[in-house]
Amino acid sequence: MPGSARSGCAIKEVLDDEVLDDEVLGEVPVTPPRPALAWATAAVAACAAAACLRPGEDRAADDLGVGIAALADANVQVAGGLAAVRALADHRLELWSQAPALDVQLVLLDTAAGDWTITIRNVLPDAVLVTGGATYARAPGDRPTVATFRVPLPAGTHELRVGPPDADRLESYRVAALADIQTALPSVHEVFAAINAVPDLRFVVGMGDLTERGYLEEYELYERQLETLQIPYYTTLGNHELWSDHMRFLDRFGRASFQFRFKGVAFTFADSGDAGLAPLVEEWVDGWLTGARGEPHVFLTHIPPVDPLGLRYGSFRSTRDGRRLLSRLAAANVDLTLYGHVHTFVAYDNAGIPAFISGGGGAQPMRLDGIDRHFLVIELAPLPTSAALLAPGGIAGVDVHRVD
Amino acid sequence: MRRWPALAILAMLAATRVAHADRGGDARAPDPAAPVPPSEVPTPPSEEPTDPSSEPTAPTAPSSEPAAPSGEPTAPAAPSGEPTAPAADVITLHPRRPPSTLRRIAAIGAAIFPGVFVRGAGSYVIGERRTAKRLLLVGATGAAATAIGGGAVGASGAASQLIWPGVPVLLLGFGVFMPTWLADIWVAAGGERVRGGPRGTPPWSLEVSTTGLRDPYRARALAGAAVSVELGRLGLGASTLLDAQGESRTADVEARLRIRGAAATAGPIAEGSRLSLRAAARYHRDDPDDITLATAELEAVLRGELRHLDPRLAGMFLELSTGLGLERATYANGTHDLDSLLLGGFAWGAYLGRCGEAMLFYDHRRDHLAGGLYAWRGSSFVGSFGARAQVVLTGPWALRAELEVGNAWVGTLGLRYQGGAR
Repeated sequence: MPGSARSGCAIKEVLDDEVLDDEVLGEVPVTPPRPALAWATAAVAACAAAACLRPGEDRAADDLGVGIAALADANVQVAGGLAAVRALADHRLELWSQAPALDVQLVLLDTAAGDWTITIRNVLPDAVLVTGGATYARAPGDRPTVATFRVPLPAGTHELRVGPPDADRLESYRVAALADIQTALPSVHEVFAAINAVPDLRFVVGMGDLTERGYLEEYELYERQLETLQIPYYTTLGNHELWSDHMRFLDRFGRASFQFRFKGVAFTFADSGDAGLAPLVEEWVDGWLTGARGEPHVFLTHIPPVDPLGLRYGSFRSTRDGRRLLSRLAAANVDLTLYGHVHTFVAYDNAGIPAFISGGGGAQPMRLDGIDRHFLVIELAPLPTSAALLAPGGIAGVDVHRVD
Repeated sequence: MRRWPALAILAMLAATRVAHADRGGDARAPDPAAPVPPSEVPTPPSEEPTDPSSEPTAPTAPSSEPAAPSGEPTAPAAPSGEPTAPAADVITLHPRRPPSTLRRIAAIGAAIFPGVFVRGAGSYVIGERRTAKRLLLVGATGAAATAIGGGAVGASGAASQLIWPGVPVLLLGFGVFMPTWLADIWVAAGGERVRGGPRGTPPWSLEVSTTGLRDPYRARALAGAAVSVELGRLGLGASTLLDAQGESRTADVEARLRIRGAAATAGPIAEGSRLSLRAAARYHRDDPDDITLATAELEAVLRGELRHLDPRLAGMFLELSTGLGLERATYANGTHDLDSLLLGGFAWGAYLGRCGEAMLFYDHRRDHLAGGLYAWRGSSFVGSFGARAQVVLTGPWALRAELEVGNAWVGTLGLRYQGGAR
């Protein structure tokens, strides 16, 4: 074979080079392979089968449908999608709240006018309903986190606000944070009992993974267990809720990505259940960050954007996407970031923002870390206090409470 | 050499032939006119002869795995003295009547399933029982390592203390387990007809490339340039990747220390197995994201030719890599984070004749353009997958094509001038 032909390097030449084998094989034909075509086909097929660039897009779009319901003669809309509409029927409205204060618009035609029974679940124990300048106290007899109001509503458009009287008052308060219950759902009442034992907590914020597989029975058990908790639990979802249809979460509890304010502090929950933010969620977060600039701001999501133990990669699918989010949080002067997913407790800084991973809800605990079930207690100080002066940014302190 | 201990696979892949090449200081394809040393003649497999009833042999071969004749056939002498395919590539292809189409299809099917679980199923159906057994052993070894590494990490709840070496063991184990599956499919499909062999690393090269990126948030076009030079055992490289819109820029420098393997040379070589250490540094700036990343990393990379496992696997190779890195991120507010990186991956590939090579690979890192694949329940635990091919076009010109799929699709086409190539 001439050298020049060798340098041309075609498959056929190689086969020619193997003429020896042709001779030995006699009548055995040698079929020229087409490796390039085979490789290209295999690569494209594998990539097409595997790749999904925007896995959270549908879920984010479904978020937009939360908090809206309509009948022929009545419709309801919860501002910011901060509650799931569980029932809208004849003169009856039932919501599952994802925020300490709700603004609800109820539009009624003549046939829907009358006395309405409005039930809000997962509500603050001291919540009242205000509409048309009148304040309605909850009916007696319900659990602390279930409030039922009986309100006379004539035809027309009604703006209802459900929340505690001090919802907009700037003063210090405390909340708990919890994530990663999963397989510990049968015993999570023990964690809830420990939370109940902490005085003056207003509510619990959650970083996802309520269930192990997102089964309906798990959600039902979670709700039954929540009956033991004396304060509401506002949470985003985690990757384990995505093992089943995400609508099971959205229909029951509301949006996976949302923001609320309470007593001058903004809380932003972002759905990172598939290890990244959907572009739509990223847009929302950008808007929420801009809107809350200058306010004390707590950001919560299930999966840490960047795992503090980088080797583990318990983080966003793309570290660069995670760092982009952190850069935006830092630029917006977010004061505290809370994550779950990793079943341990880690306190660290990311992009200069205090960060806590708290996956102590009872899911299979990380070994060798010296901590099992736990939750965080966060003291928020929207106005300067001695503690806040020491820890500026509205976060007066974060304590770890062990359950075991 | 007859019975490969399963646990010796990694050592085997980098063993005697590399050492021989090192001693000689040149692993280029042997002169076909030169006599083949006895040590270079693979022992014909005889421990498990192919079932004659299931695999009819060619009339000229009385047995399915005939003993090599004393005058071991070698590649024909090239008139110009150009290097030709190594002797091992030729003599291991024993005369054999090809299987029927039906049997070939059945073998491919068996290689896919149950081959995905039971390695060697395709080889077994095609009549290569010894190959099947060896693939089974090596696959089982990889699966065991995967289970050990994964078990340690999983049972500890991803305890910090066990991530390393748990995850590297998992990756290396899976990096052996998966290629054996692909190798079995290759054998079942008759991939040996490609008769490929390795090419040396060119003494120096220049490359220009274009890269297309599509991630969940945007699409980008990037232009790249790279230079590489080999200085004895040391290889140096530098590259850059610039966004066409000027929104991001990346610069890499790297040094590679060749511990085992052929020295840099033009054209085909006899032995493609190699072991090297790679140290690299990277600067990356993304204006819209407002992040600056500086990365330093150290990685060991092993390539082993599978013909050392069984002659029927000639023309294929696997790659395993593991390493650590540090990444310093600078954010919009001027703050910094310093985080560790776990590097690791594996690849299975085949030589495309003497033109080049193609491979399928997995990369565990998440800090690069591709990031990690959305993997449903496994999201955040999985890196990226890809395919890469390098083919000599003509003379010193070569083409590199790559598609990597993770959080983003990243496609690259590069044109390379290989200095010293004939």
